[in-house]
Amino acid sequence: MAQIRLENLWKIFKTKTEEVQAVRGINLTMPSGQLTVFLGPSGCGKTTTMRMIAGLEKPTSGKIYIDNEDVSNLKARERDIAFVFQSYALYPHMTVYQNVAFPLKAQKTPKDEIVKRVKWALELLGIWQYKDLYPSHLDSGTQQKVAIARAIVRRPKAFLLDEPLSNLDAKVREYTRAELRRLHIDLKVTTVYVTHDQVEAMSLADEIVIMKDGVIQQTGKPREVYENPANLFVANFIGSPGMNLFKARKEKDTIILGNLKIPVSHLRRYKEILPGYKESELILGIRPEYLKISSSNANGWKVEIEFIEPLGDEKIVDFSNGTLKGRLRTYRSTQVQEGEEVSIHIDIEKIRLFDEKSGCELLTMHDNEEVKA
Amino acid sequence: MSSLEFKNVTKRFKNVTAIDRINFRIEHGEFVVMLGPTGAGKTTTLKVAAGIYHPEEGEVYLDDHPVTHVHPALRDVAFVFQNYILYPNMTVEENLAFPLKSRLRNIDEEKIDETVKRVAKLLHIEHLLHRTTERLSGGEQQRVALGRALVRKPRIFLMDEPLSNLDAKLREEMRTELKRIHREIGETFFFVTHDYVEAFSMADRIIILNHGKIEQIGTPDEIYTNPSSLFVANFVSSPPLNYFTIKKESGVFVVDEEGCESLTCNIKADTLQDGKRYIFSFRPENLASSLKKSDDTLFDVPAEVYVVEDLGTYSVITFKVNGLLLRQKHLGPPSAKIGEKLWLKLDGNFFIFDETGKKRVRE
Ligand SMILES: Nc1ncnc2c1ncn2[C@@H]1O[C@H](COP(=O)(O)OP(=O)(O)OP(=O)(O)O)[C@@H](O)[C@H]1O
Ligand SMILES: Nc1ncnc2c1ncn2[C@@H]1O[C@H](COP(=O)(O)OP(=O)(O)OP(=O)(O)O)[C@@H](O)[C@H]1O
Ligand SMILES: [Mg+2]
Ligand SMILES: [Mg+2]
Repeated sequence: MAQIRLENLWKIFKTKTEEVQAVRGINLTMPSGQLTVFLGPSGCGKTTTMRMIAGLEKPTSGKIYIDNEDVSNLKARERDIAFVFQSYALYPHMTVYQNVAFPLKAQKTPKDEIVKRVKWALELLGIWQYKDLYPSHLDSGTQQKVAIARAIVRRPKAFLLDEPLSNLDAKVREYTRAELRRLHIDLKVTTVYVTHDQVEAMSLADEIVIMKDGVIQQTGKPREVYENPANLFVANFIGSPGMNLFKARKEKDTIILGNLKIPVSHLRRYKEILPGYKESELILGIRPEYLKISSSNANGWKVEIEFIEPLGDEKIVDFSNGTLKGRLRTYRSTQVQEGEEVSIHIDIEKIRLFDEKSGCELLTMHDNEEVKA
Repeated sequence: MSSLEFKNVTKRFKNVTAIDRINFRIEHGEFVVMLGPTGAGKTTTLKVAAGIYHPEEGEVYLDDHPVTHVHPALRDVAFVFQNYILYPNMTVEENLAFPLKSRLRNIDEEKIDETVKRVAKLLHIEHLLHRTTERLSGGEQQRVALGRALVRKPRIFLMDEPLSNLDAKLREEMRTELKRIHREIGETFFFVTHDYVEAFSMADRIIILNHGKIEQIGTPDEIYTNPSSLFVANFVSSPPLNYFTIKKESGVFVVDEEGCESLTCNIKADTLQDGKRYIFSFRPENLASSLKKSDDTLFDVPAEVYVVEDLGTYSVITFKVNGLLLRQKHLGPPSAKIGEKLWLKLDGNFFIFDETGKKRVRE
């Protein structure tokens, strides 16, 4: 178990025609025993960061510490880190047992110790019964578990997993996800996990690191980044669908959203800082589940239902109010039709406000300015 | 715009029967999604529809005309492959115009230009027309690939998991986009995927395929409320369906699973026969838990919280009851902590299947 610390980490790839800044100045501490998920869109630098931690890629600048030891110049195999990638490279001519025993044999571990540890790893992942089978006889979920067993059997200081589930069928992925979470709770090994699937990230992470264009956008517990996104990018990226983001105005002590007026005094999160906020244009964010259709609410927000997307026990309803377009989440049983005019109730407590120019959430921006001042 | 029909179609590869006597009909202008796991035979079905594969048995009809032995080029269908191929040295505009420039078609330049602009607008890629395709993001490339199918006016669009290479957020956006495009152009869409959310959110009707056989055909609503087999019920449940074997012994239901000796299960299903085994199942959203035991608790022992997942909009709690793992899904932050002991209760629907899971048993 080990703490991993990244200090002003940069990676610039130089090709003949261009210079790609894949990772741009990352600072991050991952405490011992924590599972940290790197989440972000394709190309944001997740894999590059991971490869630098593993020692497979040399940082352009910056340092990597494991337990306060600078490992930036150590080779991959000197770092005592195990990794699992998207495509599980198992040895096809070896059985499950032999595959998992392989790293221990390579380390010249005593024989009885190998037997003990392989059994431990296979039982932990619930795949002991497959020990004598060859990889080609296993389904993809089980193959990936073998790859994970092979990584944990050495009991390394840390695990790095790069999209280990993304080649699996949607269903298999769901089963395996919860098992990985449980595995982490049982083992408590420092883990870095990369994915672009936010549900996977929410499910597995002790802490989520959200990246975009090589820069960290926000770091926090899953619930924190969900409820209190630091900026518009995170607000939209987390959640499926993401947070509704409406253009709104501030006039004196009211926030105006279409025909709706919300007194600033009702917004507990913001009432201290809003009076000092100089801009009149801002972005009002609200998650789709914090909007409710109410037929009786006379002073609600009047909208027209445009489109209904069924999702099993729930449905996503697209609505519009003049130029504003939004989505809400409701139960399957809610009676509502396309073309209908309804009134929407907004859960005021859940409103989040963002600065239009910088995209920053107002309270986050305010707190950052306090720190600087 | 066309209808497509399969009558008793079988396609074999050596000793593998990829699709096995399948029957379905897609009406003019319908958006039908075929849903199934890896290896179910989805791609094979599409390729038979396109004429790339010839079936060993059965007939394929387009607009009620048999086309089973008609060459692909003469069927006039558009195929969007999972691994789309764009011409890298061409601009988006050139890529889109390419399918129209075939000498066979003989379309004049002005008309081509107009079509390319219309499709680019539909896909929101007008601003990219002069860029070469290797300089596009994954999602933009995907839209160009779709565009190359849309510039033509085929009788039917066949799409093989066109969204599965995209990152999660883009996939979500493209789902809405595709549905919008379908509404705007009103053509017949036949789309295959293994992602049930994709199927539910876009399809007018869903065909569920498993091991080359059709398990069920229906609207998303029908499939959800009335699954005809255990496979279907589980496939459209996220997180996975809760299910286990039960046996009725002198009027009492006992759980018949490994590690569940003498676990009884409190359910009301009078019509089931004594001495027979059934599969009892219910969705994670229909499981409730409480601190106190009551008359309607499901088991006579409490369940231990085994995994807790906070997914933002929802939480998923996995319980352990003897050898059973059961999942509960509810809105908002998790309502339980690991290690806690709670009593489980059913809140809503359940489904009972025969011992094999193949047939629904009326409760
Ligand atoms: N060897 C390389 N040479 C040049 N550019 C590279 C190289 N490796 C990565 N890049 C670029 O660096 C950026 C970050 O890539 P990286 O693989 O870290 O992204 P990622 O977040 O893992 O994305 P994905 O989710 O698609 O795997 C991308 O723009 C990519 O094109
Ligand atoms: N050209 C082929 N030769 C031999 N077997 C094949 C061929 N194409 C498909 N199969 C087999 O037929 C079955 C169905 O394959 P198919 O590709 O249609 O599945 P699928 O539902 O599209 O799966 P996936 O979701 O993985 O794409 C599989 O068992 C596959 O191995
Ligand atoms: Mg990557
Ligand atoms: Mg396929």
